[in-house]
Amino acid sequence: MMARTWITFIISAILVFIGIGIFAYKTTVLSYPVLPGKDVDSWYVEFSVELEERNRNGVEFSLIKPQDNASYAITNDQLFAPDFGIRETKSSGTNIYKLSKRTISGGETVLLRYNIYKIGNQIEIQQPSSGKNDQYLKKNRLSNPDEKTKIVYETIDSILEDAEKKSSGPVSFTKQVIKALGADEDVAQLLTEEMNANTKESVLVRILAAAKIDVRTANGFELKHENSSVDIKRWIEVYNKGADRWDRISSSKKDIENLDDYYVWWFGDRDIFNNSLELKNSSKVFIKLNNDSSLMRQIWLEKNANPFVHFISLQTLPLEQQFVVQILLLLPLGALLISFFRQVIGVQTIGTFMPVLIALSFRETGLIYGILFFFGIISLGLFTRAYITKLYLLMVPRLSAVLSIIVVFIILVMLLAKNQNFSLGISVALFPVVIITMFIERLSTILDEKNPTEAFYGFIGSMALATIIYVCILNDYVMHCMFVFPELLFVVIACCLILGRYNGYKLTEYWRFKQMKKVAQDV
Amino acid sequence: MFSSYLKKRGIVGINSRNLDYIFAKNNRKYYPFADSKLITKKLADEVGVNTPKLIAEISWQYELRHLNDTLEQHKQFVIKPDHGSGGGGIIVVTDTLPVGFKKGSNDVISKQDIIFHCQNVLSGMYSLGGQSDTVIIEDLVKFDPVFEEISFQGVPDVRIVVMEGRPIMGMLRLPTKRSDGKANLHLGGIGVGIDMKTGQTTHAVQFNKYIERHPETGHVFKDRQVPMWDEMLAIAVKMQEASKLGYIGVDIVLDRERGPLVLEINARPGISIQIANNCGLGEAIQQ
Repeated sequence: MMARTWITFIISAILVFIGIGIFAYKTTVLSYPVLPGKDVDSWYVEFSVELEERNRNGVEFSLIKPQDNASYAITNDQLFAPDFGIRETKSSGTNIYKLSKRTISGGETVLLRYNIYKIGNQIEIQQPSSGKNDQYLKKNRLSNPDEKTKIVYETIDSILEDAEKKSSGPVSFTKQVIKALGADEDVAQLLTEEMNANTKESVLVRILAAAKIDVRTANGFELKHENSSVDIKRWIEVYNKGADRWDRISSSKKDIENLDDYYVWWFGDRDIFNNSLELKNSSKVFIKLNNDSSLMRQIWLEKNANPFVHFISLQTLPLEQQFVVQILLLLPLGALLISFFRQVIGVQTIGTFMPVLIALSFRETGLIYGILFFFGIISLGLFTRAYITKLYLLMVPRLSAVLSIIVVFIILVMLLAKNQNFSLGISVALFPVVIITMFIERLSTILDEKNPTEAFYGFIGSMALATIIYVCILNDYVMHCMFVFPELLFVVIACCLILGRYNGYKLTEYWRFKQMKKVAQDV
Repeated sequence: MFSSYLKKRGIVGINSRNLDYIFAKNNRKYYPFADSKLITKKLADEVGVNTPKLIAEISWQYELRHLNDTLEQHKQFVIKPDHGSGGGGIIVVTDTLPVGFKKGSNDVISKQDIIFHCQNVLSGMYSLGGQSDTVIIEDLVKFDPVFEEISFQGVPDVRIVVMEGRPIMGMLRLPTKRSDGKANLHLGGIGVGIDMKTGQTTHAVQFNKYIERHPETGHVFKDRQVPMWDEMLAIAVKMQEASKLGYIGVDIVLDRERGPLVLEINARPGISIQIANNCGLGEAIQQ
């Protein structure tokens, strides 16, 4: 008896020693950060486009591939386009994916994922834009223009003259031109038609080229310091000879905020997603902060210096596996918390590890929505079950029916939430469905067989524990710690072993046996 | 960790019960002796201990078709899952009426309800771990009226905790309206402590709180004599030895005609018995 306890303690001590030892080595010698980095300079990006039209034949799409530039490096780019033929081409310095499919049935989704690392602060220096837009330079103009072309020449000249007077350099000159074009829509309209231009940016570029200003159109999105959905925007960059850099200017009258924090996906007038038939589509860009980028870089740098440490670092796994491992590492911690709350505090739960799973399902929705969602689904489930019971169905088919109804409900909620940008792209809510069904079955069995009070305590206990696990464990700090120092799992195992030999009282047993004290005093 | 008072009284908590008693004294290999009521019955037969008469055992869905014929010959019976625990899945039928079956609680249920319940039992709803189970139909015990004053609709039984050949603690378990005719404490049954030497009742407890009188009948619990107490103790010890489990609870019911019958044995007896006896198990073992 005692021997078992001692053996448990010795094994635990060894595990703690190993775990803390590796942890200490990593923090002191290798100086791995215990806390996640505050300076975010890395993002996960997901671009998705959904085709909305159906039954179109022989369609080819082009999607612009993200590229490294002087400020940002792109890694891990992956294209998910099931059932499409994919090839890569290059057109005027831009890499393009060509996607083709025989028949579009509607609802096809193409996904592009990549990581961005900030590597510098300057705006891309490329060769000033080529001369193909300088057809309106004085020397290149037609000697005998027709009536309309003449008007175009005159308009351009007057805009440029006016801008020249009101400006002091290329940037303010460009701003004046933008202002002039924005002020008079008729002129803008006329120029766009006569120049046969697709966008107002290309009109701008040509006008400015006539004034020998180097200017180009750029497209990209803002790298915000929060996980969010962002829009792809288009702007103008003007070459500033004096400073030898490109300045960014919003091409509309309204300024785009934080233009300097934008990542340039591509230059030019083309759309990110083109198709031969101009099919309707809807596209979205999500960005997610990557807090461990500095550490990741450090680990990559160590590749040669310390190959073993590099090898056992989880950061070297492919991105998607990293996400899985991150969650996987949290499960033991959650289980340990549950052991503690059940054995030492005496909290009742429905199903042993159910609260960990519930907490995980909160991740998809957030805590408040998660709890509401759960209450909604549980009441729906109990309601249906209560009705279905009257039909005298066999147990397993009955469970299956309840599960199906819950699936219908969850899908409804997902459809409603689709437009709210709830989650990053395609996060599959498969996990919560099974969890919730099992939860409902357990809960209703307890309701049937034991008393409602017990079911109530179990339900409240489960939700409370799930909340505690969600708050204590599913946060950036713990995730970072477990991911960077997975050896801490040894410590977790040690704690579990020790808890497993705990033969003391539960906190709740103090109340349970409190009556005995009273009676003993009376006697 | 939380109360030195509990320790001083020798009270055994759940963690300690599991680690120091159940894991330490009960070999996992012998659990089926306690977990299956049919095996317990066989065991009891071998050592000459009486159990309620078995009417039928149903292992397969199709056998439910003949359920009617079986039940027609009996006005009173009890339906139990073979591997049930904590009183789950037990239906006590006290009378067969033209409209249906009268339960211990006086509610009437239909034949369909009974068949549905049996289906649930067969699919493992009440068995540990949910594996498929067997339905047992037993004769309803004609319980001795000695405890009629302090029980409500159902069968009162005596739980005796035995450790390694020694009866440690006893408790009379009484059904209430709340517990639907069942004697299990967590369902709302009442536990009454029993003096081990004399077989006299002591304190009574419901939902971990002491009470003096039965909530339905209004009679006092204290100072009643459990009949045939010494025989019961002997039966409990016999069952413990036959089961090869070191620490068990034996549930005995007193039949008017057949005397003490073993209902079931339990390899994980609850710890509320300590409150009913106002004595810690640790302290009782010391004595």
